[in-house]
Amino acid sequence: MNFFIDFMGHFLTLGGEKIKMKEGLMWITLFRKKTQLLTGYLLLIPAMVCIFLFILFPMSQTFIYSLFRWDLLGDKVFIGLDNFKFLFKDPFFKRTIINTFLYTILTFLGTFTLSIATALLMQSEMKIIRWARGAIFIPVVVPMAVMGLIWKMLYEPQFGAINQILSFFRIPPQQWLYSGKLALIAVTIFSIWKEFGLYTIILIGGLQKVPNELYEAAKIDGANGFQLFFKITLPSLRPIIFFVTTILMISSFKAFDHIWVMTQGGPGNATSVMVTFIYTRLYDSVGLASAASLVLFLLILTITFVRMKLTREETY
Amino acid sequence: MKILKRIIIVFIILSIVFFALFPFYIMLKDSFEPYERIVSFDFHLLPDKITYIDNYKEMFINHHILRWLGNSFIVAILAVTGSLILDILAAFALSRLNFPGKNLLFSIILMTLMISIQVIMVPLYLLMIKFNWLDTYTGLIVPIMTSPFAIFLLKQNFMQIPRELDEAALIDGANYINILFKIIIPNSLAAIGTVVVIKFMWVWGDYLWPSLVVKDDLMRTLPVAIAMLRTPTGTVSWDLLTATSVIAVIPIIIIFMYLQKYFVKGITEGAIKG
Repeated sequence: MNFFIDFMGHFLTLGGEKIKMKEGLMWITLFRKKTQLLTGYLLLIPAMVCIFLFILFPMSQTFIYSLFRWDLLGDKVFIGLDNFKFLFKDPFFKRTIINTFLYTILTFLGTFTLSIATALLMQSEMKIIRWARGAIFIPVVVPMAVMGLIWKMLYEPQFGAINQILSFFRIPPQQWLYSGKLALIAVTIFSIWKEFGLYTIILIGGLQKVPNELYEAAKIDGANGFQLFFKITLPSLRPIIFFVTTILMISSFKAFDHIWVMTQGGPGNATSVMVTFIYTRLYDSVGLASAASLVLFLLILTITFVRMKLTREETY
Repeated sequence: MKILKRIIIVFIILSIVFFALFPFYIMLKDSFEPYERIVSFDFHLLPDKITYIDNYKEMFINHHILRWLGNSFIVAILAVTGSLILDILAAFALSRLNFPGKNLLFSIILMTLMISIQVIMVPLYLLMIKFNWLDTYTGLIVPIMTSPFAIFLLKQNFMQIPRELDEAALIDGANYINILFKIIIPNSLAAIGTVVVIKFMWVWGDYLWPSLVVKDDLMRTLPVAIAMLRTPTGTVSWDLLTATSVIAVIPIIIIFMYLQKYFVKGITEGAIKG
């Protein structure tokens, strides 16, 4: 390196005094480049080691394990794509996929409807409304598994508060988490409760950006509330709604904590979703669990790419 | 007519707030009641005796609640500290220094945003077995210490600080570490605060990872420990569960009340980008 600088220096001094200054500058820049390079790598190494060891390496392992049959104790046996073939023939996994999508769609519909309604009602900056916004955000920050257990108690058919409240309205008690039909809906209601505050806040942020003149103009033209909502509010919120949709889908695909503590995927396979499936098969079949992980990864990847493509179109 | 409309709107808002807070009320109420009263058929909105604190006493005397609480705090605080050190350094290098391969490394970090723990938990669990990290704090903390999302968020914030500031400092003879501590960190406290609260919330509330790593009762974090509470006959012991849940929920609600804006900013940004 020093030789190189000397050489370049000789080359540059040919032009006289002015170049000497340039030589000095070059020394400084070269020195700075070198320290930048060293400091840069030095500062990045710890984080990169963690990322490689605990994210990228396991990710590559997921691909590899999905091609093997392995029950943790015995030997690994290479079986090609048999794990995937088995998964797509397995009625339990089929039900898991259906449940995952059903859960995603129901959570999306419920959360979105409740969030947009709440956002429309809670736009004002009055102190009480600000408190209300804080209150509906509390479910978002508390531990999912803990509140899942509290809701399990609320859902108890014998003494749970939900059946008790329903009986005031003369609705007969339901089995909720113990019923094959209602369990998935019960789990969905919980996730709506847990997440709607978050999406309300995001949507309020979007609503505040809709120019007021649009509403004024439409009102002068005699539009009513419904028309204002469907012709102005919803179209102006398009990018945000699109964001919210993809986020909700990805987080629903990854749902685990609350479902596990409430039903463990049961009764039967009524609430079995992707992650509970992986979690239960982890101990008896690493290969199958890895293959299912890849299916989950593929789902997340698809949504992410659709989002990237559509956001790009939005911006241009 | 206008007043009627107002009343209806207020009523709807109140019912939404009621829907959000009702489970917390039941949790709090039941934590002051004996098991027989919780599972009784007659519905009541107030505990018989607010001074009934046997559930809490029982937890402190006969269960390892202090240990679990301590575990939760140790894991959350160390994971946050680790994230602060590793992610700030990485974000600083990515936003302020020039070196070959920088863009490649940054794209790798961006890519890992898509890989969530649910997708890699199988090999990660096997890795913990190989490292002998099951039932250890190392296993609970180190794998979740760095988060690509935090690096990304911090980098975006660091980029907004004008570069002229570091140029001036460099001419005055400062080195890069001075720049990081004197210019970058003081100018991005909001972003750092966001990373701290959101990471604390994630780790404090996580169930999936600690439930995989921990099998030993003494190493459990609160969410995992709460999910394990059973009466001697094997049914869920709701009296102890509600009392412990109150203890698990209170710290995060207190932090939320004081640092509300960081939570909202962090979670909404986390949701949008992660």
